[in-house]
Amino acid sequence: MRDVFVAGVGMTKFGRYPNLHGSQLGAESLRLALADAQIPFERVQLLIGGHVDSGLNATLELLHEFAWTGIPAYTVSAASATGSMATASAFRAVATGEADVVAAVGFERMLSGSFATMLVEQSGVDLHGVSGFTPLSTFGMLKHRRMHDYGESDETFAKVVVKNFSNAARNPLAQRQRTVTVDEVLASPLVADPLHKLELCPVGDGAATVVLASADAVGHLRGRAPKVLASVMVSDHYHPLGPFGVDMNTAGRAAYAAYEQAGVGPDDLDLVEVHDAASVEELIYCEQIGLCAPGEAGKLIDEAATSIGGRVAVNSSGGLLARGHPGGPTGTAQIVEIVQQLRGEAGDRQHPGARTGMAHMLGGLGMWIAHILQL
Amino acid sequence: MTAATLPRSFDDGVLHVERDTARLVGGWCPDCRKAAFPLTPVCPRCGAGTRRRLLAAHGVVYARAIINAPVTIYPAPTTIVQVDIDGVRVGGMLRNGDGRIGATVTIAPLVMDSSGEQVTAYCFDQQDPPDA
Repeated sequence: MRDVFVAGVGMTKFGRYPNLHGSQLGAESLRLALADAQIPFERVQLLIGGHVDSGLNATLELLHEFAWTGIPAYTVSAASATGSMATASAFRAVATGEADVVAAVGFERMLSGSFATMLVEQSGVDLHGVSGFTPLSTFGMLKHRRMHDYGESDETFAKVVVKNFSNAARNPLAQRQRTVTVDEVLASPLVADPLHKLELCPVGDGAATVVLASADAVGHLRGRAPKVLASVMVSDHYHPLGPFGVDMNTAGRAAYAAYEQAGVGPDDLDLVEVHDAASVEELIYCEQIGLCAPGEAGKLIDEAATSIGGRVAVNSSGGLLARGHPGGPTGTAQIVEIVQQLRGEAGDRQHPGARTGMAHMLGGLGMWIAHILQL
Repeated sequence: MTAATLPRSFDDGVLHVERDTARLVGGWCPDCRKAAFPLTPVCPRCGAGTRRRLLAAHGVVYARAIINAPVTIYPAPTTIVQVDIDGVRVGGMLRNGDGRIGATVTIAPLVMDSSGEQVTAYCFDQQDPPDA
């Protein structure tokens, strides 16, 4: 296996783009990433598109926004972890020697409405519909159980939102660029009691590209290309919720497999990006990833240990909650954030001394993908 | 979080109804000595063959959420619960009660309209009184 490096990253601002196709958004992010990598498109040997619902030919349409160079171009899809899977697939292609330069492009132009609403519209009076399991009800129940198990207050969950909005307010590519207060979060509607509306990520569109390359192909970047120390993909073993839900313990299995591959541990991390589609998830993942013991994540938030400038910055991009979560590009956007931070190019949200970062992602019903990057 | 592999119909043997009582139809693995739900041809843990087994008529609430948005098949507001029954955790609508963690619930038949056809599904009824 060869060493793999991030040659370049590019990203559109997340938001609503009703007049563009997902592939056009993807093309814009790829142009930015190639310029960042100082690599012409003709040197890209494999194009991996990651989208959930942007059309049958979206990745080829993306290729055709550039030149018809005859390279393989295919789509991967893993719900929220789609961009992560595109990155992981690109990693494997470079590591095995299949290609020297690979572009992983996550992109999406979501339809109107929310994922949650779309899912229930697809669901009739079948077992899934009757179970009541949707992302929204699942997150609400996760929060209810955590409050019961650990005595965490509503304020603790609201502080996760406040932190991530504050980070996004300093991220020009974020969808939500405003700060909020604990009181505003708690005054927002209780959509899935005990979960408030502002504890949930927005719906949006956008694209983010990661160009991975071999050592030979990044020589011209003179040490500016972070190394990918680990790329791990796992799915849930059977668990009590079975086909209805997710085993949150697999989050830890993915993280610790990544640590083993990378030769680092949780104490070495300066940055972590996680799937905070709801506030409660960030607390769970902080524990699963090993940033603290079970039940202690609320204390991390209360002590600002996971804020920018704290012990380890969690979701310095603003996370899904505030940078946004268009689906296809969310995982690649995590890599974009970590690369910008490692290079010291994160502007007002720069975490001091950032050297090692983890991008950790959940996709759908229990696909987990973790990457560790270092510069 | 879709579950396209689940049975589309309750006629597929998901639910066993007798008059006003209902039991979920699970699988039992003689090797793992554990239940799974729904019933599948092989044990999802070990791949061995499974036997049909009715899950208990009672369970205990693991968590609940009160849904105030149109994101389930039930009119809002509605309470969705996760219930532990025989080692599996099953979701469903709580017809009465506050859904407090640890409350005992029974499973009950629930007739629902599905595109003009009546389908007998299930829901949960809380047996323990709500917290004061």
